Amino acid sequence: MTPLSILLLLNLCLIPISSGDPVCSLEDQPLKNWKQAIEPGPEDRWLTIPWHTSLHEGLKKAGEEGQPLLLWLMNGHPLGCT
Amino acid sequence: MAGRRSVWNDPRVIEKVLSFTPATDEVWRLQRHPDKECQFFRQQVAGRTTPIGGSWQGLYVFSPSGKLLVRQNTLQADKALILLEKGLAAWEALPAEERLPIDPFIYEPAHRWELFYPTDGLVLRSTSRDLPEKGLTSETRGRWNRDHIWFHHSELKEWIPTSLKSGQVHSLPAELAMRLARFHIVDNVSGQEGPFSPEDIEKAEVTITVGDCESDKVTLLLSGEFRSESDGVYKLGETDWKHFPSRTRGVSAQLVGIATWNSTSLRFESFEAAVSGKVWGGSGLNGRRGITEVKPAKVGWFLEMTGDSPSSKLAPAFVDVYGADWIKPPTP
Repeated sequence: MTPLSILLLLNLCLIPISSGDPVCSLEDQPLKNWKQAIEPGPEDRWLTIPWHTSLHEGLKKAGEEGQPLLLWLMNGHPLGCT
Repeated sequence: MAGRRSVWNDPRVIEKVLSFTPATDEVWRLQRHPDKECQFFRQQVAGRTTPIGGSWQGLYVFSPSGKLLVRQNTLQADKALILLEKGLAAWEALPAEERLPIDPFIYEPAHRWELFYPTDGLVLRSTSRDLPEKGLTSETRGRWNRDHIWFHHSELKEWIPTSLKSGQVHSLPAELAMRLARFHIVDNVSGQEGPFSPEDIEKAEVTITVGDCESDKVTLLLSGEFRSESDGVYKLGETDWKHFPSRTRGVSAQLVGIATWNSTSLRFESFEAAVSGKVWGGSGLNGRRGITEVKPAKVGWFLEMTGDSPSSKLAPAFVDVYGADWIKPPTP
């Protein structure tokens, strides 16, 4: 561990590491604030669509359901890094 | 990427999707790779099994037998709705015998990267988002993207200090820290970015400190630093990323996180980490024109364990260049 890493750890963890409820922070913001700011929210309704994640799974399921397959294709997986 | 919101967030589109079996996939592989699933796609959309160039991104409606009914690439909800209506009309006009499925053996893949999903390992969902220069505010809802990070079961021990006493400090081995730096602390917020090569990584350090130990639950505090800079010259050999536009770019970032390790089951029970970084330059596809090291953009990443949804099992974008021996490439 480098001296800088130790310094970072001491600065970033607001309370002693032996505390029963450790809360780490980054730029004076606790992790929960980072999570809330970064993760998608209710405005991303498209995530509620029950997507199958491949052509072959979708096609197989379409056959089972007796429905047409709607396939959304992008460079990079639309539900991953696109 | 814009279509996520402009098309699929529209309530009319979401309702119309109920008439279909919805699926998504990655089109570069379908256009170019030799797998049976990819050849089937090309036969259905282009009438041949050999690789097809250009961009085939977009929306498609197929019958369960793979007959292409309609397709279009649009970022407009109104146009997507029209396409879906046309697709339904074409489906309803099909004779009953043409609505029947075909044997899945015809299109089932021999290889997908998801086959190497590290069950019992550590799988993290990474969400990246543009942040205001001044940091987190109530208005921080910029563009975002998502990827997954894989660590195999055999790699979990590398995260854990040899002694689980409070205050014990441990460094994540370079190979795993480099995996984070090269493939995951990248600026993919507004479009895919290429992976960094090993030569691009100036710093990749993750430190793990043991916190509380209650019964078999061990709290681990994580901190890390990353600095990567590419001269824009591609160095990874014959991979799909060779064709990716490459320009000078860089990232400087700090990580802080907390995880719970179960010393009985030898599994992580929780893992959360925030990463704050400055990014500059770009691939030409990540929308960073005019963003230089002198005036970088601010990006946040949040890493946490995934659930069991199908999308949580998608492979990392750069899985093909992870270089891990538990991930096998397709056989030629």
